[in-house]
Amino acid sequence: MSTTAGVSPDPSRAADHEALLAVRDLTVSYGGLTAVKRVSLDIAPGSVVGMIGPNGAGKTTFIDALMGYTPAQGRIEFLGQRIDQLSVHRRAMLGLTRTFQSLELFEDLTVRENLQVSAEDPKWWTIFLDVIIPNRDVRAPRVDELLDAVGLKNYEDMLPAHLSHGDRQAVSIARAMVSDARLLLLDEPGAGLDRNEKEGLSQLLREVAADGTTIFLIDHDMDLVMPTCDHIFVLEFGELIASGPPDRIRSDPRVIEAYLGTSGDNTEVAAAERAAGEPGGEDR
Amino acid sequence: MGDYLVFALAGMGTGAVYASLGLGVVLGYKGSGIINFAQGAMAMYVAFAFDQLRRTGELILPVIGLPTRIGLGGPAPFPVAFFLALLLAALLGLMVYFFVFRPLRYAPTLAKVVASIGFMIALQAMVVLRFGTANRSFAPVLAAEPIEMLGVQVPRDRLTLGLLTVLMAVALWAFFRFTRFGTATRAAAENEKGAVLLGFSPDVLAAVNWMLATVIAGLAGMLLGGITALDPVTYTLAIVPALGAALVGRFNSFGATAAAGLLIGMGQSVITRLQLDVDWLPTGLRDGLPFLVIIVALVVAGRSLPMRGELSQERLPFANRPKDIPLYAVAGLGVAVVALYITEGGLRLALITSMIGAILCLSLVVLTGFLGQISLAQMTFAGAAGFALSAFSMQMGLPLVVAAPLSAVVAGVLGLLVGIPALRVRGVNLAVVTLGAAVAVEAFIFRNPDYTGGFEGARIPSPTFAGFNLGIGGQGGGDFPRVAFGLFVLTILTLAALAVVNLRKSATGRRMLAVRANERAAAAARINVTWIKLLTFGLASFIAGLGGALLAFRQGQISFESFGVFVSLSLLAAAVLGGISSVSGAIVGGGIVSGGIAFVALDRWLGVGQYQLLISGLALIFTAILSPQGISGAVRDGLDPAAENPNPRKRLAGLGSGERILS
Repeated sequence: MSTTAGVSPDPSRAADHEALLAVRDLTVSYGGLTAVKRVSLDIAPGSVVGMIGPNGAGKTTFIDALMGYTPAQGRIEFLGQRIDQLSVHRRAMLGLTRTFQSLELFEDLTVRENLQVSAEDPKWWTIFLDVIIPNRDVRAPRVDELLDAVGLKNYEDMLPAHLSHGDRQAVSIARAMVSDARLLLLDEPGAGLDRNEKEGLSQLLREVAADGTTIFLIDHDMDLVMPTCDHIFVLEFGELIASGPPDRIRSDPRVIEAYLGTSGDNTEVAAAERAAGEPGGEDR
Repeated sequence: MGDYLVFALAGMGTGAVYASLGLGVVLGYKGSGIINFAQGAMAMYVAFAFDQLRRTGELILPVIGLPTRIGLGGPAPFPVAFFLALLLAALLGLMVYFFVFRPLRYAPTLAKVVASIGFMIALQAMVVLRFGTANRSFAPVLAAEPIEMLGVQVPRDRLTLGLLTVLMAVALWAFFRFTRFGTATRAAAENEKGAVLLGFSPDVLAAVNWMLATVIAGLAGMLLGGITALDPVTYTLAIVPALGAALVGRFNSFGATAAAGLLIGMGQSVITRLQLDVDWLPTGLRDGLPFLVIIVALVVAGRSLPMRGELSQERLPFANRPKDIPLYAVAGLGVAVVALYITEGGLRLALITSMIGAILCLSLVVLTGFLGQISLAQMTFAGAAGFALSAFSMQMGLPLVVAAPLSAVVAGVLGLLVGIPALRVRGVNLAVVTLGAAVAVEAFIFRNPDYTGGFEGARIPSPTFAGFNLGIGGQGGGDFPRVAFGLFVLTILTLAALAVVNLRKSATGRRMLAVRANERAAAAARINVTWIKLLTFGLASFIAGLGGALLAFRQGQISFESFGVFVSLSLLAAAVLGGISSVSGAIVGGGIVSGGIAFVALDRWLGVGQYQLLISGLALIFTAILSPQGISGAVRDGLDPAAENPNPRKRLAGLGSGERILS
């Protein structure tokens, strides 16, 4: 892996590229409530794309719909193939995976096994071999590499319950990355991380993107989103209200209004302003 | 047509009991989030105590250590006996809640189910010890002279019972709808914190609901006893139709539960009459009806139990990665071979029984320890293999090298079928389905003389391999059981144990544990959750089938009694006691199965054979509360106290996802 931040495609040219993920008119309704309203967007391969929005804007629901956890109307194309009717694990097999805000680690498996499960892709008949020769872990080097990358090498035989929250978050991210998915959907990966850990995370995400994995990231934390992402979407009340590179999003009056308009969530506004005052971010 | 009406109305008697037990189950679940599988056994105890009071004036106490009976100096008149029995019921409910289920408030669903079943086994065993296994017919309680209704003569007591049930349901509904206590219980069922805010302790709520449940169950037991003679097993298993009724009522509605209970009883009665007219109806339909109700309610209508918002949740025991396997395998094999040679007669037979028991426990290690699913029907799969083996070898004349593995495959396929509901339901719902399935398969297949030889049983030829006699007995008597059969069983056990060890270390085993831990995250990690569940059900049932085939060889002749529901429950007891999540646990479990080495030894040296079921029931409750990892886990911790316990008992709320996995 390179140590410098990867150069991603110019987001203004994203529309010209064949999109990795193309979403058209995605709508999610729960009873009378519409959580996501006719959202359409494209994600270019190799980029780091962010989605921000106030609490309850529908960000997590959007990821749930992309992965197939919640029924949705509309069209989702991934690698040029329609996936909106596929089950979750089918979408995952095509190269789409996610992390969860509540982490959802495999609490009954060790840290290493958490990554192994995600890295392996056995066939249905593997079980017949498994009961005779169990240790055929061809993906072990990749697992080791990621355990190193997120600094969990020393904890690999522990159960997740014994790790700090930051380390649990690292397991969650490493577990998603080790699957070699084409597109990673990260749900609040910065939650519970301290400032240093966030900088490390930002750098890791840039590196992963430079290696060709596309990243879609939702987070509250402007300190993480602004410097990390090439392109940002803004969601409010389930609708896409803005889209563009970080500089443009910072100064977009609708975005500022959306953030001010939500019951005075001052920490986020302050974070947005602070990030706006430090062009280019602080971690490079 | 009049005939059918008479049968339908007469069925209100049993229907009323199903309904009352169902109401009790709903009460217990509302109050404490626990499904009381022992509801039928509790009703039986109260009814028998009531009967004893009226006969001899003796109050029979259920607690070991206290005096067995307190004499009142002569038969008690009805009102005295009646109120004493109800008081006893209330006390029983209260004690059970505080000593068994309160300590398990935050335990994983498996522990709750296991404790509930342990209590059911223990109570049933206690009743058999104190009252005997014979049918009891009571002095009638309700007036029984027939009355004219809708143009037919119907016994009055059935109508009275039906009416009482309806009144009870209405009273409960009103109580929960209009009193503060009822509101608080409903709030607690949603969120235990809610009840605290209303000024009620969740403990008090749960205890009162348990007392109410036991009193209602006891009432039904007493009234039914006056109508029809009952034996302990029938009473205890009345929990299956009661669970069906409670499911129709979504473990919430008293009205729907009572109506469903009454209808199941009436339906069974009508089926009895119908079978006189329609001779192609399967013979087991009457006993299988509750299972059909369960399947329709749970799987087709999607009526699973409502979720409870509980304060925190513990996890299933950790499935250790096996270490130093060659060492343990060689040492274990050496000990087993020596033991087979130095023992003889009953002790050697017990050793062989334990080895077969260990194979059966292995099937539960795979299903429950690895996948986290509960099955109360494991002996049903074993039985399917046993009867299939008999059919393949005796009727079709297949050689045993083909017939034996094929019979285990039959068990595997049956497991796949029972596993299909597991795709829709999990946790305690699945326990209910498998319990119903066990009763239904026994009724439809095992008790059908066309398939299984009836009371004569199905015969199994003695196994031979390449000219060697592997059978348990020689040609002209002599050495019994033969060492060769022991070595044959030991070989299969070793292979099965190594396969399960390898499974735990392999990609497939990791996927099972990932599904057990978190189905949502498993799907995002490319795991086909449906496939893993079906695969595991099939594999576990195949292993159970191996055990069943060996059991058939051991007995030479099998009948449905070897594979009944209570045998499945006592197997689960042994597996959990031994340690549900490891191969070593299964080996220990084999030691303590019924007829196994531990009980034979206990009986020989301490003479406690008749207490076997009672002991295993009580031990099961203690395991669920004190040592969820079972004996083998406790020994592992004891041998290596420095090792970090990977499964701290308490976990903070919110972090865990166990609640979603197993509720």
